Amino acid sequence: MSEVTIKSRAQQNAEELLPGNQTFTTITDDIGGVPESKTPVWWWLAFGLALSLLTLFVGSLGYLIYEGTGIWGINSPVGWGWAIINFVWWVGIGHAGTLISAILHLFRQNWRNAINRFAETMTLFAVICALVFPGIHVGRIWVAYWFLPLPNQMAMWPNMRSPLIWDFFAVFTYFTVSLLFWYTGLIPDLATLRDRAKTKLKKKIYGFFALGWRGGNRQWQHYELAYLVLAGISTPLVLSVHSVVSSDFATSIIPGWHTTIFPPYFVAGAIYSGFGMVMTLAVIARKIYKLEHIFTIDHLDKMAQIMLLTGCIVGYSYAMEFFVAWYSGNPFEQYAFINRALGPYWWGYWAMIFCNVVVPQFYWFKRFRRHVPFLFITSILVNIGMWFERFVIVVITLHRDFLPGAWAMYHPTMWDVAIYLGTFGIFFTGFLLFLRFLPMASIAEVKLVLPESDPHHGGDH
Amino acid sequence: MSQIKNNKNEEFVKTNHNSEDKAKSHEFGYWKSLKDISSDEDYGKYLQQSDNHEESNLSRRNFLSLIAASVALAGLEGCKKPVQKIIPYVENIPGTIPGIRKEYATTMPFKNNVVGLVIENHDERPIKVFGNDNHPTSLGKSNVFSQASILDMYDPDRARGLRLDGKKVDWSEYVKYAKSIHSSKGEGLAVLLQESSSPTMNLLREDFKKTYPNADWVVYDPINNENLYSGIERALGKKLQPYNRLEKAKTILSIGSDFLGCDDNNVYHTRKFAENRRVKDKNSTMNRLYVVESSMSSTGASADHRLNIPTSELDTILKELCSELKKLGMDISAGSLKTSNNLWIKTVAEELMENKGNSIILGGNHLSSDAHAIITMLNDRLNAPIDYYPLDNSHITSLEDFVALCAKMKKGSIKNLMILGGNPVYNAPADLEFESLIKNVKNVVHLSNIHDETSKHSNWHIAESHYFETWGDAMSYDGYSSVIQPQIRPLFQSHSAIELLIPIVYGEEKSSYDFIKEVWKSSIVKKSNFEKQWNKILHDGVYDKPLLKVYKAPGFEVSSKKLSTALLNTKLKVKSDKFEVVFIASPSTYDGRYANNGWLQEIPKPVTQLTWDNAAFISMSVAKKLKIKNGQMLEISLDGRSMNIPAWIVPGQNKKTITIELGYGRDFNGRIGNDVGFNAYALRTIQTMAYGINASIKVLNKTYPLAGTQDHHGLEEDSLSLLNNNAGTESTQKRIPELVRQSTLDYYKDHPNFVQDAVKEHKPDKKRTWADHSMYNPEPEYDYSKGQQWGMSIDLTSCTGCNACSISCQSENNIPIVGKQQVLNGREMHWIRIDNYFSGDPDNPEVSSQSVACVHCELAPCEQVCPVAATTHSSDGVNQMTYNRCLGTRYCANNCPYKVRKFNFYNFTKDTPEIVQMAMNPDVTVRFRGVMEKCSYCYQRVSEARIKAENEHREMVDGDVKTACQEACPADAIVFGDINDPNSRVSEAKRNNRDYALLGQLGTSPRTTYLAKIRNQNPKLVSNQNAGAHH
Repeated sequence: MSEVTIKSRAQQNAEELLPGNQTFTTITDDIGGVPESKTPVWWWLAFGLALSLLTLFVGSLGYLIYEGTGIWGINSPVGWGWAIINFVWWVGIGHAGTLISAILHLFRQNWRNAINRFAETMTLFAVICALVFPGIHVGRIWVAYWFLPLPNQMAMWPNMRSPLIWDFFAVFTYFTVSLLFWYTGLIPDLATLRDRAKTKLKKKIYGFFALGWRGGNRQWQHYELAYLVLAGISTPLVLSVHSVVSSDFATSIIPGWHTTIFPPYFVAGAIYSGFGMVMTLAVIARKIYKLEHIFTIDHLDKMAQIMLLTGCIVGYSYAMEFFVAWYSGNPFEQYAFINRALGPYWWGYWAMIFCNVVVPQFYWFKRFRRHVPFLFITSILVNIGMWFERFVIVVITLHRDFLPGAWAMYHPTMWDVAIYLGTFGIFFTGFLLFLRFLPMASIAEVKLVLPESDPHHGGDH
Repeated sequence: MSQIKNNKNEEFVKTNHNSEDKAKSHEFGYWKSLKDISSDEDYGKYLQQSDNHEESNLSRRNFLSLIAASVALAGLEGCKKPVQKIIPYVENIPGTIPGIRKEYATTMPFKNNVVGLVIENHDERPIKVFGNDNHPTSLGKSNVFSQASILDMYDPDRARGLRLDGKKVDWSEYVKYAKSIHSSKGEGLAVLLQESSSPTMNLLREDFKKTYPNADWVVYDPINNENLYSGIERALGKKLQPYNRLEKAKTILSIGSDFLGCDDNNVYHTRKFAENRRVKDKNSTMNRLYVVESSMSSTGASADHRLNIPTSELDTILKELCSELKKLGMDISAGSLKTSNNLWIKTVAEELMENKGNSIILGGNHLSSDAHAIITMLNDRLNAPIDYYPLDNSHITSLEDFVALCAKMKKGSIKNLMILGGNPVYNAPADLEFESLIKNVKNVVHLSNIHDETSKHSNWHIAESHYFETWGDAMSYDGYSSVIQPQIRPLFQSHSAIELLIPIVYGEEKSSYDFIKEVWKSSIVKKSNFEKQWNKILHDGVYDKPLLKVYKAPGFEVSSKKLSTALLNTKLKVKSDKFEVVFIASPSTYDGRYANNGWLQEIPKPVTQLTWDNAAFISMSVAKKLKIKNGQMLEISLDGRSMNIPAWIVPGQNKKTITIELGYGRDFNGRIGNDVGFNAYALRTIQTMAYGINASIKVLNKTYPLAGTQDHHGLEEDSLSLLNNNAGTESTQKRIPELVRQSTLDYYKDHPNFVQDAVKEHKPDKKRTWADHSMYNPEPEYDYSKGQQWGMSIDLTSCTGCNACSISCQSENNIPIVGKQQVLNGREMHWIRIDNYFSGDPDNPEVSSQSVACVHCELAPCEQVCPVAATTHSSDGVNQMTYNRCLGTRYCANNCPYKVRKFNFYNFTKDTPEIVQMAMNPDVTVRFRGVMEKCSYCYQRVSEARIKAENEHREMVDGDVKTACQEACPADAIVFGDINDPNSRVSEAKRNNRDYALLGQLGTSPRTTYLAKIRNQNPKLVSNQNAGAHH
């Protein structure tokens, strides 16, 4: 009885997740063939665009270092502006990757196998984009290394009570673990590419990174264990990183920041925006590379369901913030929230509500969840909404706090915009290189979905 | 002793110069000569450009290239700190210990009055101004202008040397010219001066008149008290100087007088006014201030009751007051009049009569001389505490003389015009067309600190010495005279008016020092031990025997009998769709003389909080009616003249009144003040010196960015918010009673503990442990119950919001100016900001001012969040910034509930000219870009006092340390000291039951606390509102 169930589930899985008559060979050809084929024209165009954005970033960064943070719109009282908004936004986006790779792996959600590489890569570059900001937003960039606990003759040590230091450690840990996880997952695929390589150079490079992978049983056994351990390490990071990022705000004294709901609300928001980004990228990639049979509509459907869940959590948090502000009886707190919704930056707040609360409600309906153009547009809206969420938290909170005598307006400058756009340069440059040279889905793991991969396949127990 | 010092300066010059010639080779002053060792080609170019600058055509382009050259020179590349080589003294200057400051007394002449000062010198350069305790007018305090005057001396735009037709000439050339005038018997000679109180100048005038009986000696200042003096003349038969003894005044009625703000003698007035507003306990008494005015002034903001009346209708109010006073039995001839303000006026009249002998009426300089005559009569009848002192005509403005001079110039009968200070081309009444008249004069000599509007039309231009650089003398209104003693040799080969006049009057050269000393010897001190006396005067800064005696008029009664209220012009009425335009002195640039002073340009002006511009102040209701926004350009036409100026909405502005500050829109060689604001002199004619009626405004479809530093005062509308709701205003209104705790005196008497009752739960509970208060620290870092613990108390009852504290802080702590654009971006750097909140009727609101600097929380939110521990606590309870550890995350500023931390967004001091760097306090680090800064409780002064006490083997005592804000505050509202010393003034202040911590509910235990504001309102005028509603 049980055997029958297992078998049928494996087959069912395969049919659902990999429609069409796919075999190990077709999968290897389809995924592994992309980096082997001739570089398409669109790639060069996209890469050129990404490089120009990267140049914009480097240029604005140079100007920033030359002139100082004054080139941005920040002022007193709004000491943090786009830089911190972008930092939180990019870190948040990264979360989906880890969630997909680690948590879904632990829960044996095989549908993730098609999108995890994609998502992890996105995480990696998103976290790089995020990590740029804590370094460059400080007034004296050349001493930013003081964040590090470097032993020195003056015995000067970072202030471990500062959430910024927690933040720094959390994000760096996250980056390191994500990188290891991603790389570990890549090893079998790198070996595949090495084996299929037609030039010596390619063979050498892929071979170097494949770390002598031969696909032996023992190797697989070690690999699976290492992957599992890394998944186990990554899992708490999904929750901890954004919780720590949220404590930059939550541990402060400022009304609108000083609130205990931030850690869970930030994590939900991060996953929400991360899935939005994965969706955006996946929709483009599956279209261009004609991989609709690997990134299937079911994947998109499932991602939309997660976005619906996290979107609702985020919406609930917005409501709770208002409730708690009212319930606290603290007039400063109350005004902070009234000011969000009705103050001079009301448009930012309502943009956030529309994108983050209204938009995902469509995902209740299967029709919308499986409508690719709709998913594409809404996934972008979700990321716009999540950017505005950080705008609301950072700018609207700071611009009017306790003493009305210190209230002021904040206006971003072209340099704020340039650096933000520039980080897309970092992101897409990296991502396009990844698409060009590495398998965008995990060849080994996609194969796991096929019935042949089942340990019980072909057996008659 | 200053003479000795002067010699020392000479030696100093020699030490630094290889030869005298080299000093002359370029005129950037000897400080620049440190660079003589550099033979860099670039530097040569730089000098050339500097020379071009001296050619008085410093265009924007030249200025930029000059800056560019200096940047290139300094090797400023990227973010590197500029490297500057310094050269040590080869030989020490005798009597100087590097790093130890010296103080010399001097006096700042301000028009025909003085501010007695002590100047702090570091390594022979003056760097900070203090009030002189010995001087009866300043009483140890100072004001905005005297605090900022230090920057004027180090102004790189100052003129240098003498020029004849644009070419540099020697002083001997001028002496030759002066001798030629002397020998020609002064044919067609006229001297035009500013107001002054110098006894030496007085003597010079007498001798001038003797030598040149036909020559003119004219005094003109655009903002003057001429009407006051002639009003007094009508009442008392003689021009006299009133001296308002406010210490004796219980009831003060100001009719348009800004005696706490821009009007004369403001240090003395504020000091004495505040003295009578110290509320120690419920038995304390207070004076009561009534103000009638058209535009919210500092005085109006401090008023207990304010009546908002157009300036043109002040005569009507005065007349009504007279009729009420007559009803109450005053012996005057007055017609009867009753207006809608009758209750207010009746109440004031009753109180004035009630406190006869202790009540006083002050008239502003916008009133006619008739009104001043009536006020003088009323004060006489009220037996008001005013002393009248003899007044010398030679000191004060006479518009009549000035107009006569202009007529002569027009005729062409003036051949030689000597303009010794002042800037008539800029500030003369527009209808005199001085600019065209001056072209009729063959020789014009102009003495001014900067090559300005008038200099352009003068063939002689002579650089004027700052009062830190020259010998002079001056006298207070009540006859206390002082010697102006130079602190430093002239930086730029400049001269004083006295030095210029001596060869003219006597036909020969004399040193001004010898001359002044001789005057003092022969006609002031007149004692055998003169040298001893002279040294004492120099040391004390004032001669202890007044030169004037209180004037007792013989015909007092007789002459004022003739006065009647019929004199008053009650017919003036502004037409329904027209406005009156009132010209006032700017609290920043005064009449334009401080236009090139960056500190003053950038200080947010009292009430309006506007920086870097003047504007047409309009009332909220007018703005609403005509749909005028802040910064909207208006075309204002008055009597056929018109000007364009942006609007600025001011609460408490009269609906009929447009108020414009003078002193802006200059066109001169000042890199700071050139083309800043709008020139209101263009509208001002002889007829409308004070104000003009029936002006029309046209709203232009243009806006102009105005840099105000406060977004929300509590009465403005939030046009950007959703549905145009006013949640921000409502929330501000709700907060005001909590932020600026306040009540009326009557309520306070019944509820002396109203503040303590309100903040009970905010006070740290001694029974609870530290850990209960702090999320982070299980126990305090230091034991705050031991040793010296610094703290501050600010009395909101006496604070007038005059800004003296903020400028003093800026001078002491090397706070940079950032320019208008950066103020617009919200990046002004002042460590002390004065928050103004308005409540009630937008047309006549109550004002709550509060000066806010770092409050030094014991549990400072900023310290917890700094990732590199750059802001920490000292063992004596001061929250300190370690600038070179700060990496600039700005997290501390975000987490500061008071928002008092200021960030160096740019390297604001990068282009500080070398000469301005000389004004910096060497005891305080100049901050580089990317670091946070804030009030340090003047910790350098604490350290200095501590070292001094240790050297003297004694404990520090209360008063050893005075913060810069404290020593400047003319209201004496700020007290600083050791809170662990139960006998210190600050402990005493903190024991007062009005003491409260701003945002005390946050539990940060701030060391600076406030004393609640008490308004002494008359119960008769607050009948319809419950006094308790003030909380």
